[in-house]
Amino acid sequence: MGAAPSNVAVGHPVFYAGRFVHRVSDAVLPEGCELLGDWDVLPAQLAAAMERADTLVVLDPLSFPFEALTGTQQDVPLIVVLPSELDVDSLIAVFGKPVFAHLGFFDRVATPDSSVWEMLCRRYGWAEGQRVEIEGSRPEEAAQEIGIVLEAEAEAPKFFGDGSYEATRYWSERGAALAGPMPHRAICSVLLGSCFNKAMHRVQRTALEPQFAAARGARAEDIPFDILEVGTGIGRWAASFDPARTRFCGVDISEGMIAAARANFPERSFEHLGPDLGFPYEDESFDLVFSVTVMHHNPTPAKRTLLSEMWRVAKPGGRLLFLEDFVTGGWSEKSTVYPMSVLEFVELLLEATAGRVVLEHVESLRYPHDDWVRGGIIAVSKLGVPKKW
Amino acid sequence: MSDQLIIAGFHRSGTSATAQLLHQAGLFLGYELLEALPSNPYGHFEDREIVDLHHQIFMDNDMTWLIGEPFLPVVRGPRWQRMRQIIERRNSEHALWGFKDPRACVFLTLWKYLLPDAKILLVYRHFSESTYSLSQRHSSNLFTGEGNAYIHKRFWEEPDLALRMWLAHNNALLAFARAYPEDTLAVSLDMIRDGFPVVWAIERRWGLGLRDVPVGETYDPRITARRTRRQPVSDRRLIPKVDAAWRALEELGKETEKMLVQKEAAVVGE
Amino acid sequence: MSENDFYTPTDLDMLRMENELLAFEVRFLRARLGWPGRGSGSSPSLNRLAQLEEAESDLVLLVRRMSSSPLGPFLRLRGGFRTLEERYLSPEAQEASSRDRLAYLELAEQDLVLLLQRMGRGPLGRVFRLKREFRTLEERYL
Repeated sequence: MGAAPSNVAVGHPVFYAGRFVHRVSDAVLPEGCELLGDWDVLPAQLAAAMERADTLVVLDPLSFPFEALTGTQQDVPLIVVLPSELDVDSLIAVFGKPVFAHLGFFDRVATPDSSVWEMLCRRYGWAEGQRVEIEGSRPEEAAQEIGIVLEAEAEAPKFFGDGSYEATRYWSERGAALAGPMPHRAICSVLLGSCFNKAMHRVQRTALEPQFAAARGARAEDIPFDILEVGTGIGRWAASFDPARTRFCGVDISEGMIAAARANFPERSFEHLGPDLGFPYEDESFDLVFSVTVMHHNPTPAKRTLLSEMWRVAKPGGRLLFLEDFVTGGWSEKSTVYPMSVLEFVELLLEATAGRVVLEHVESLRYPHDDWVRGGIIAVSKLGVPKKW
Repeated sequence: MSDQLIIAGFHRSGTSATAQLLHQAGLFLGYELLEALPSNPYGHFEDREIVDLHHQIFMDNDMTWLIGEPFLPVVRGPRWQRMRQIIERRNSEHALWGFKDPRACVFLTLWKYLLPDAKILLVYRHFSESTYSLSQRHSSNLFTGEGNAYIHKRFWEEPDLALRMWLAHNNALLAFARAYPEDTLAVSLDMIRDGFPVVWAIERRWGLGLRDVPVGETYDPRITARRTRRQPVSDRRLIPKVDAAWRALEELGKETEKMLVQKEAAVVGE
Repeated sequence: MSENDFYTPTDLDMLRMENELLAFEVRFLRARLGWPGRGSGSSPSLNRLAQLEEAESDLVLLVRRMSSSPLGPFLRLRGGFRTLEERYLSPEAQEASSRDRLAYLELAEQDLVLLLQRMGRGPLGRVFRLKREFRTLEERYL
């Protein structure tokens, strides 16, 4: 662990209290928070406030102009407090299309009502970790409770490399410390603010979802599609797959992360990897095996093992999909990333698969806060004839 | 059911001489065997249809045969179809067939996918000899204006091109051999020069029905004299990789040589 | 920073890696779209250039062989063949080829196609086709 570097994005929580601004102003909000009323969200004012926000807490969603959030404003993580006076059907009727359908993995919902949460969570595929559990139903109570949560998150330990980065130890410690109490912080980049993490997720999701669909191909809907995510963390990408049509499994070296993943998505299967990194699955078990920003955190021997295992458990004709950073600066004390160019990765991939793959997709990715193209997607198909039918 | 034997080795590694030997031993190598043209100076005993297909896949991927980096290709539908056509015709007309093409080093897994029982004769040569031969030939052709200037220039302008090509091709061969050890037999040009009975070894290993042809009948050692020399290198990061590949190739060659020792032991026993 | 600003990367390795990634992507896109080797616009791909260079060297070989064969003097009575000799075998050919290389190579490819078509016609065509090299050239360019 170490002190925060100077390039961490500075922002603060913005609370939108709308019609209840006079009630909330009496509540104790964390120092440095900004409070907006329903007259404070004219376009220019809202834009200025969103520039300063690292989280937007919407205490009065009935009066908030969600449709006015455009461009990079949509990258500010939301916490939406559900109006207690509306039942589930009304909530869906009012907020379903304009709000709930757009909430992503880094957005959260606050409600004291567990049955409402469960019904919405199932309908929209949210993770358990996206719920902020509050007890008070009044805006001022919700504001106070959410303020405490955000303060705790701001003070959470920041895990940097300390010059002796070792992947298994680092991610296990980080998962153990953060995955339970604040799972999103367990997987966020510590060098960037929460807006950047949501923006990165948005860019990655836009690029990955067509690849997930392409991997499925023209398969009939009633044939289950078996997916394995390597380095699943708290299960961020499990939400991209409909449990009615897919069988999703995730593996990770961090027990803490796996526990959080299981809590987030109880219907999916998550397994902890041992130090030998062997996958607890038989050969040729999955139609799609993928990893997102995992390989670049691992040294070359671990990469080789992971790639071999991914190839082993993929079905012939199945797909292996990688989203990684292929442009990195030199190693520094705080790094948790091993510099790896795309051709270096291709060389490892060909070595691990003995060349028994063909190229299906390549795409470079540029994140909003970067001046350069950093990430890339590579998808390959496995050549071979099934050993079993 | 047909058998297939593919002769794969980097350019200037002795694949042409080996192909000639196996051709004499009864291996069908193609309907239209290329001769050396200025645009394909090493083209002896190469099957035109297969060379053209390999070129098309290179072109599909915006590459030439100067593969100096790990090659992960897009293979489009028509190319798979063409491979199947080539295979079907040969399977229907020949009990044993094969082909020789150095370009095949980076396409072996594609062929193996369509020909699960295919066997590979892996021919290798020390990098200093192969790269010397390549670089010198292309540099002098550039000077005299023969052949393809674009190709020649690349050897002149990129100091380690030949070495990187040797590495990329031989790493692909090594990966294949690791994945399919029972279907790969490795021989070096040195072994062939020293009279290693290649055809006998192939028959001992796989029993394909080839006629035993002594190496000396078809192979002229004067053509490729042994010429070990120091290898110039610009990017020194290549050195450990090249060394590792060479050692791995020699290990494979030793496995093949053990067969000869066993043969001699059997003869003595008789 | 506004989009019109410049920046100088301080890490050359990052620049190399970014170039490598983008080049890899472009190569994939060309393969996926079926572009390479067919070169469109004013900037042919490297493969198209390689194709054209091959055609030029095959044409030079063919014309040289025909010129030095016993049929050479007879062929030189024909204006078209004399043009080919001047264009590709004479000392002036080297100069012409360096001036506008792409145009010269494209012309060479066209001339090769025409020559092969001419040679392949009529009773002599059957004679030429007995030679393997001629059949190879026909199948490659016609």
